[in-house]
Amino acid sequence: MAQDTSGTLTDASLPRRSFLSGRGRLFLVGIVLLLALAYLIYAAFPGSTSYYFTVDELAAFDGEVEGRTFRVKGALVPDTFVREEGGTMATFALTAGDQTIPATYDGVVPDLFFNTHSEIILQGTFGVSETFQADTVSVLCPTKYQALEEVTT
Amino acid sequence: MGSVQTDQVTMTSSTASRSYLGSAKSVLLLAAGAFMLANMYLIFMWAPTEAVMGHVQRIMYIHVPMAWLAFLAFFIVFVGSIMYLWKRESRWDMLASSAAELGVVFTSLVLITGPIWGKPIWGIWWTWDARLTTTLVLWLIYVSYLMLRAYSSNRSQGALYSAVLGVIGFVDVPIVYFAVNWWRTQHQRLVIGTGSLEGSLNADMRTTLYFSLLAFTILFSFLLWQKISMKRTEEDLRSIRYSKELTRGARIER
Repeated sequence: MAQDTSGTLTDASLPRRSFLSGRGRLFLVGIVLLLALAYLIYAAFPGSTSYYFTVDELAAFDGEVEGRTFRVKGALVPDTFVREEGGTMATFALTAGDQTIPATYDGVVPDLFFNTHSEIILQGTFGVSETFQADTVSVLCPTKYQALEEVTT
Repeated sequence: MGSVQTDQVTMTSSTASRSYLGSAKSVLLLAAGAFMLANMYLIFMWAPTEAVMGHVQRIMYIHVPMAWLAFLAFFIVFVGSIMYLWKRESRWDMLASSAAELGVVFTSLVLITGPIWGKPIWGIWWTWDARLTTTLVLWLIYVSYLMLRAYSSNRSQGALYSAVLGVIGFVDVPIVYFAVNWWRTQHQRLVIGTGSLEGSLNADMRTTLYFSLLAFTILFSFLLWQKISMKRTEEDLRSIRYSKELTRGARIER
């Protein structure tokens, strides 16, 4: 069909043929893209549940912790926050379940850090001592949106 | 000669029906304006101040509807793309590509309003959690949809390829939506709709949010309509230019 037999027949059949093969190729590309996308999504979140560990999960973690970066979530233990005199280095403790970890952070903490509704996520590593050295501090949004009047009255 | 006359007749009748549609479109624009004004009143005057986040939380009434519109837009792209692949009629391509442009605009706005909210509350502008990352991927998918169209050597090929992407790309929409329930994230979990926690949003805040969703959807309908009629006009201009070139060509041949 595709051989160089004379003129009109080949010319007439060409666009149709290329159209079909074009569609087949498109279908193939589509499948490949779909598989690639599915794989990327699958690969992107293998430890998907571990965007953070809770404090108690981290305490139970039995893998290598040295030099590894973790995110850990917990509530601030009241009255543990102490800022170094004249500096920005702060020490405090986070708690979840029945576990508590001491932590340090050098920098300005977010506004809602001290709010009693707040849960805090630290990102950082364990130092030589058992203290968690945070590079980033973030606060989780409250899970409930309440009006100011509701809470104060 | 005869064929030219028929063309003119069909054009006049379509112009008439379009001017009728044009006034319907003006009504939609007025409705969008009125609803958006009322929406602003509800957001800034009527809705209660959130207990923990304070006034900053009011950005929710803009951030969430924009995300909803992005999802809606990409759903329209999805449907339009399927219809185009099936029927190969350019009106489906116009619908899909118009919705894709709006979807990219609203996803961009989501990605802008999100960090504005995130910085004062979370203390960080951005983090690579599941919700934020999949939203960025969503934006990239539909930006590439638009690029694919822009860089295609001919328009029907661009329409075909982007339709395929418009179908595949939609896979990410439910992933973005459910990311906060499927994975641990920095992001707030769902407060309304499927999979949300009961009582996680104050009743007046919910009313305001629903109203805002409605107002933004009306605005979106107007924008989509406007975009489609622009594309139609472009199409008309192109065919007029094309037929002019044909007649000129015919004259030269003669």
